[in-house]
Amino acid sequence: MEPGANPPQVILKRYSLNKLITRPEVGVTIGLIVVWSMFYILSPKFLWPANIGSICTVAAEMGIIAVGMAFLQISGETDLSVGSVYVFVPTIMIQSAQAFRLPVFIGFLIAMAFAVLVGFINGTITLRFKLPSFIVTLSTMMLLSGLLLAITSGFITQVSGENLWFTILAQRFGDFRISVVWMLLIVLFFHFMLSSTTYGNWVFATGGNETIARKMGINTLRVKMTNFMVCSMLAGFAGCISTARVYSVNPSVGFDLMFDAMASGIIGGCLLSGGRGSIIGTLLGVLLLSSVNSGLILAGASPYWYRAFVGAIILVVVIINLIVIGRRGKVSK
Amino acid sequence: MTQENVLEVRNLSKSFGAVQALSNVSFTVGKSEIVGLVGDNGAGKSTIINLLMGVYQPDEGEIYFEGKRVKFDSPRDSRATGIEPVYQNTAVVDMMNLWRNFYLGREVTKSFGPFSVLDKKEMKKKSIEMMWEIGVHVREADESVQYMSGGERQSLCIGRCMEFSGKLLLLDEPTAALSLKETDKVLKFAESVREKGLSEIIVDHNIIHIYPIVDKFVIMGRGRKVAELRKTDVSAEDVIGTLMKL
Repeated sequence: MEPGANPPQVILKRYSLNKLITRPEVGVTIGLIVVWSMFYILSPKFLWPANIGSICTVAAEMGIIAVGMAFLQISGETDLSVGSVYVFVPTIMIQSAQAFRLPVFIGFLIAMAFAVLVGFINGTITLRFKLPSFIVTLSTMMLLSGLLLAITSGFITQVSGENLWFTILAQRFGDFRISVVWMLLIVLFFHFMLSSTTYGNWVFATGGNETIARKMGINTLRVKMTNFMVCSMLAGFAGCISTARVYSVNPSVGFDLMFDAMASGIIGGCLLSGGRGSIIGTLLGVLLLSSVNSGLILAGASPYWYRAFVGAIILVVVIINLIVIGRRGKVSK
Repeated sequence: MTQENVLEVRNLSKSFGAVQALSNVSFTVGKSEIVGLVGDNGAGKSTIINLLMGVYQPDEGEIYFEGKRVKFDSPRDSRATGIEPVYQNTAVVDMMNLWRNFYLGREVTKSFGPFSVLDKKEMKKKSIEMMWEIGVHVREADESVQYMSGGERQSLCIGRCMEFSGKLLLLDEPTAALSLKETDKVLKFAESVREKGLSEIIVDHNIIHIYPIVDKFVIMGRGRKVAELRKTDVSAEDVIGTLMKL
């Protein structure tokens, strides 16, 4: 055909098996089906509403962190300090409210401002000095958690008395908690941002090839900076929800959650190097991990098996994802 | 200066720290003209391209685009003026699909309540139509560009330039890392772009490759313009000779 020929019919949307299986969520969907069937066979209680409710409660907090982390990771950076932020921020919320006799909600606002500040510092140091975010956030992670342990002497910070804000964050209704609604809203919002807005396009481009994105006129530094702050803010928010649920903050719980959130993103199809990923995939990754957590307990296994299980799942799902990408001829870098 | 010049640069200088990357370089690019910017490594070719792209700003000197003085503070300014890059082999983000690449940095949006949402349908349709117009018969705008051939990716850049009524294409080593066949395709593209009335600056090491299509050579050496030669006046061997003497 000659140049200038009219396209016979522009295919705007075509659903085909080949296209479906190249989506980043494929590996995790397969994993989820396998794990759910397995645990259901081991213990039918697995699909009881009470258990699904408890899976959702765990998934809500882990999911909010993981969404922020995935968003940052797609733009090509990472944040190891989310676990420390997750415990530091609610401590500020409670301590500032108690020390100055403020409503908890005001304490919450102060604490969230602190979360944004941490993201800003992570971003500034990473971008200004062109350091790997892995190293920068490794040090802020240690700084923050060390500082928190020093301030609290490692004691759990308790909250006394009911308050409305905690009800809004994590009230229980039957088998479910309202925190799962927060998580779904956040997932929907960031999924929408990533797939359907100009900003989302810039996030993919920044992570996919920063040099080219910049030459196409995108302020990649601003994109990354924004995402650092979003990531930190969501981690702090998740920490506040957790505190609203248990009415206390344990300064030593953040580390595991950081790994779980990062693993969820990877399982959900996010590339550590950036440029590829999905918020929905990350949510499925979170569901997978929280299901394993409760499934093992129901199956009568020692909860210590959890880590080993997660390790195995990461490998299997990542290999599935690689095969899926490879099916299209080339493996992305 | 004459009206036929799309681009004129006058006395451009740029230094990075103690390194004088470019000193006092002037040349013009006419309408529908292909200028070959040649020189050894470190001659200042990339610096010129980066100044024209707005990646760096010149220390001294002026850039005129279609007779008007322009200043590029960022790549965004440069693209808005009508200068479109085709980078070494490609200016696309591999992991993104056709329409996302095509409109990168100039996304088409529509309003959706309080939000401004990507108009995906429009972008998919337009990008495919433009690819067809250039003669690349892609069918799916959702296809990741990493599965496209080198030639198809270059077409994407050229199509992008035409869609946004760009006037000057910067081809930075367009044939680097390409096979002979692909190189031939790229050069044919460059010619077809000229036929569409666009101007081009091609940076390349291989004089023999680009000699057939270039109208004028600007020869660079150590940050200075050594010569500006019309192709009608010189043979490819002359150009290479001049380069080797530097």
